[in-house]
Amino acid sequence: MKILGLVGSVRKLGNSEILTKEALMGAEEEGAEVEILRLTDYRVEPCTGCAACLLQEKGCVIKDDANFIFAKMAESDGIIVGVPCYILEATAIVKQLIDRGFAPMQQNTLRGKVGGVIVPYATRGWTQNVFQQTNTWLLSLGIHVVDQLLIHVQGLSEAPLIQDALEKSRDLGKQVVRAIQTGDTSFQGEEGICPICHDRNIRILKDMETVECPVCAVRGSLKIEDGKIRVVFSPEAIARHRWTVENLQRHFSYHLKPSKDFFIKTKAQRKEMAQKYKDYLKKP
Amino acid sequence: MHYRVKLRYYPGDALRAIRKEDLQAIAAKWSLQVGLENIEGEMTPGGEKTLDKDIESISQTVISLETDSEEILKNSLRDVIRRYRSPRTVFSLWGSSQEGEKVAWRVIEELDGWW
Repeated sequence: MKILGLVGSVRKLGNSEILTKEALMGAEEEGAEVEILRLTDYRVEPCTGCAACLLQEKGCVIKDDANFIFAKMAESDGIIVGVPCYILEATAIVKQLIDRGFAPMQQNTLRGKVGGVIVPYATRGWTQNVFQQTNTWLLSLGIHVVDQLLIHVQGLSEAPLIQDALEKSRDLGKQVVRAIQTGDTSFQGEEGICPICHDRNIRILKDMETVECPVCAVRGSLKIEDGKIRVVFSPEAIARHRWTVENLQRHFSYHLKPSKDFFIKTKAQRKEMAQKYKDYLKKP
Repeated sequence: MHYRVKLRYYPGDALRAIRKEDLQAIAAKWSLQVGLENIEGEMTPGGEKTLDKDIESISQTVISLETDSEEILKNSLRDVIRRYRSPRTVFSLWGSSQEGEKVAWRVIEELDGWW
């Protein structure tokens, strides 16, 4: 069994790298073979939106290291992502890999693997969107996230001083291995609101009746019981979440691929209407 | 002004089964012409191949609304969308008249967009 650690911080031996390594030590204790990649040491270009992966049904054509990273993930059984939270969100490498994940998402090359996430952060109250990004990346690829940790570390490379952070990270590494061994990929972390990604963010739709997890698109409603808010999701709504293999297949088959025909049908009209933008602010 | 709106629901788009009798009730309530067409695409063992197909030939349920009144169109669209939600692609209005499409776009945005 192989567990891959992915570090999303530029800082060498920073908190993310230390805690990811601690998780990998836990995985090793459980008998796993481990490897680590520092994501920012690789060249990952932005997605160009060329749609070759979609419309030609092939892998990403950009010649950089993203395909190597996804191949490394594909040959692992478990993936532990350690990424810092900077200004509410995960670092840019995560978003870059979300966008570049379009081909493996379609091809299901990572579906069914087990994942864990560790997020060290410095400022309390400035972390609200961080799991939205890690979950969007991992859940879109079909990875079962069994735990996600938000770990307060005030200073740079301070993690080794915080025993609780080290223990939690080591346990996360063990949990990932055990989930692979037992096949029980149920979430072991602190329960949130969404039954799929376990985050606490919800969006209120314009009808002012429906709430939705912005990541998983599971819809429910709010109830007040004994002065407490309760978010209610029906089993049917949970089963329809965004990241099911059926839903993703529908998304590609019926929403994205038919856009080729729409693109062809509207070509002349688009060309005519785009002309003024082509001419606008044109340098002589 | 005559308005024609076609709402193309691809598999998985509508929140519930689109039934003729429910659409007939909307037609009677607002006195407009309502049509329903089911298109069955070409299925393969790996699912439907949609990449090189015309939008009109892919599996879908098409609801058509036709009226001379903008108000009636808006009200009937609201009923349809509240029941089934908005179809979720911009090409799901393909085949609508220009004016009909403009009204539909506004109502869809009003009811929370293309979700």
